[in-house]
Amino acid sequence: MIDRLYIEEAVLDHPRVHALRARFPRATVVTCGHYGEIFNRARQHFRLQKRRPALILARKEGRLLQPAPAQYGIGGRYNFYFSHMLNCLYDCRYCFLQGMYRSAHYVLFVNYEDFMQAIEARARRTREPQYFFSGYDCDSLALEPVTGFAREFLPLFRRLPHCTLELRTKSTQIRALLRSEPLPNVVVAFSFTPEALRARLERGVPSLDRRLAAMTKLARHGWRLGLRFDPLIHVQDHARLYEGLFSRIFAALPVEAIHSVSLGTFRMPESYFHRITRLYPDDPFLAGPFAAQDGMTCYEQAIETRLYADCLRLLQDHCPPGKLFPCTMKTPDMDLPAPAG
Amino acid sequence: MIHLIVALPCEARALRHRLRLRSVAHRPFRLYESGTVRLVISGVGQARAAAATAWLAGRSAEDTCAWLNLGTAGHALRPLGEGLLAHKVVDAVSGQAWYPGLAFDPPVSTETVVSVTRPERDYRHGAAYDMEAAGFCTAAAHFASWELIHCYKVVSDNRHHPVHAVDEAQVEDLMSGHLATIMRLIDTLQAIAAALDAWTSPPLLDWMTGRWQFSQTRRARLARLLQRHHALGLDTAALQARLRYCTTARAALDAVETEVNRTARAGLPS
Repeated sequence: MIDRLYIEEAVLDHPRVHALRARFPRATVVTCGHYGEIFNRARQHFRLQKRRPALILARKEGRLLQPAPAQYGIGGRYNFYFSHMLNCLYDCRYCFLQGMYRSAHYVLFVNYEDFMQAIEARARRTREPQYFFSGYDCDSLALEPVTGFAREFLPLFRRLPHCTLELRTKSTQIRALLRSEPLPNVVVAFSFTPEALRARLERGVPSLDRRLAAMTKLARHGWRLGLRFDPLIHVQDHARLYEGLFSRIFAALPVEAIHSVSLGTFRMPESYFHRITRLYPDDPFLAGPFAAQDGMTCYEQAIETRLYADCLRLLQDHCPPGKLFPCTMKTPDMDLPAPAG
Repeated sequence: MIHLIVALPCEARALRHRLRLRSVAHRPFRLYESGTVRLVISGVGQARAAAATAWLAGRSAEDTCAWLNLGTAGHALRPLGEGLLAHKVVDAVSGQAWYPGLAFDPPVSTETVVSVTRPERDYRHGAAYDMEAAGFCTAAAHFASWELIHCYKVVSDNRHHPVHAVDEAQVEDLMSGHLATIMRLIDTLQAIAAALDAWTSPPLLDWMTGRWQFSQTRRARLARLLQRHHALGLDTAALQARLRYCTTARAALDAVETEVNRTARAGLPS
C-alpha cells in the first residue's frame, strides 16, 4: 500500500519510525528537512497525488490542540481537536481536505507523547467535562494498523475520565478497540451518506453493511457509538434515501449503545471549494447548486433548508430525544467545514 | 505535450532518431520537435539547463506540458547502465531540494540526484551525481506541477569506472539501451498531461468563444458553466443546437446557465 516514505531527518531514529520502516520494508525512503518541503510546497496536484499517496513521517510542533468550532460539539462546553495525522485514506468528493491541503500524501506525526502531554495539561485545567476530537484532519481509525493511534491513546483517556475522546471514522478498523476494555468516555463516531451515493462520492469507503457489522461488534463489546450525517447531500428523492439509511442504521444498532447523533449540511470555505472545483471540474457533485454565503460555499438556501428540515424530521422519528445534536446552520462561528472522518 | 531537456547531443542522439525529431531552431539552444515532443539541447550545467527550460517554456503555447530531464549521472554503487528516476533532486551548493511527484509506478528504481558544479569523483552520499537536474527543476517548477516534472538518469560512471573514462560513444550507447524505458516514461507523462487537459477543457468552449465575444470574466464564468454542463451529463449537441438561436454572448451564457442550474437543482440522480 505504501511504497514511499518521506521522513524528516529529525525523526529518523524515532521508535515509531523504525517500526513503520519495518512494516514497509520495500518502501523507498526519502529524507527531508521538514515535512512542509513536500506537503506544503506550491505546484502540486492533489488529484494526481491521490492516485499514489506516500506516507510522510514527521514531528508536530507548535500548537498541538486547537479549539473546536461550536457546531462540531456534542453538548460539551470545552471542545478541542488534534491531528496526529493529515489527510485520509479515502477519497470523498465533498471533503474539505482536498481544498485545504496542497498535497494528498498522508502525514503522520510520530510524537504521540507530545499530543498526550498537551491533552493531559489541558485536562488538568478544569474538572468540567472536556471533549477532544481526533478525526478532523484525517479519519481517526482508517490507518489504525499502521498508526496504532487508538491503541496508544486509549490508555490516556482511561486516566482522564472527565475527558471524552471522539474517534471519527468511515472505516471498519476496530481491532484495537475490540482488544481493549470499552471506555465510557470514548465515542466511536461513524459518518454516513446514503449507500447509493457512497460509490460515487466516497471512493474507498467500506459498504454500509460492513460498517454496520463493525458497529454492532463495538456495541456488543460495550463501546459507545456516534452517528454523524454530515454533510447531508442533495440528491433526487433525498427523503426516501435518507429514510432508508436511518431505518437501516437504527434497526441494526441497540439504542443504548448510541451516544450521540448529529447532522449538518454541506459547507466549506469558498477558497477551498474553488480549489476543489479546479481539481475536479468534471465531477457531478461539485457541479451542484451551490452558493456563496459569508465566505462559505453551501447549497442554495432553499435547497439547504428543505434538505436539512426533511432529514431532521426523519431522524427525529428514529433517534431517542436527548441524543440528537443538530448542527445549526446559522451559528455565528460556523467557520469550519465538516470533519474529514 | 512533453518537453525533454538534455545536456549533450550524444545523450539525445538515439532518442532523436527514435522519435524522428526534426531540427526547428539552432539558437540560443538547439531544438528538435515532432508531434507532441520537443527536445532541447541545453549544454552542461545547472544554469544552462535552467535557461533552456525557461526558453522552451516561453516558446510553448500549450496549457499543460510534461517536463523530463534526461541524461547520465555518476553513482558510487550502482552499476554502469542502470536507469534511475529522481525522487529527490538536491543542489549541492545551496542544499535546496526538490521532490518530483510520482503519480505513477516508476519504471526503474528511484534515487536522490545531487547536482554538482564539477564532475563528481568521490560519490560520497550514495546518491546519483549530475550537473543539470537542480537547474532544470528550478525552472520547470514555474511551468508545471511536480507530478509532471521528472529527471531520468543513466549511470555512466562509478567508483570502478570513473567519469574521466567516459566518452561520447559510451554515453550514446548507454542512452540507446534505455530507449524503451524512456519511451514508456514519455507515454506515461503525456497521458497524465492529456488527462489534466481533458479535465479542464470543457466541450463547446472554443466553439462559443469563436462565435461570440466574451469578456475575460464572462469567459471564466462560461468555462465553469460548460464544465458543470459536462459533469452533469447533459447533452452537448442538444445545447449547441439551442445556442445557435442566441444572438448575443449574454443570451448564450444565460441559456447555458439556465440549463445547468435546472439540472443541478434537481439533485444528483439517486
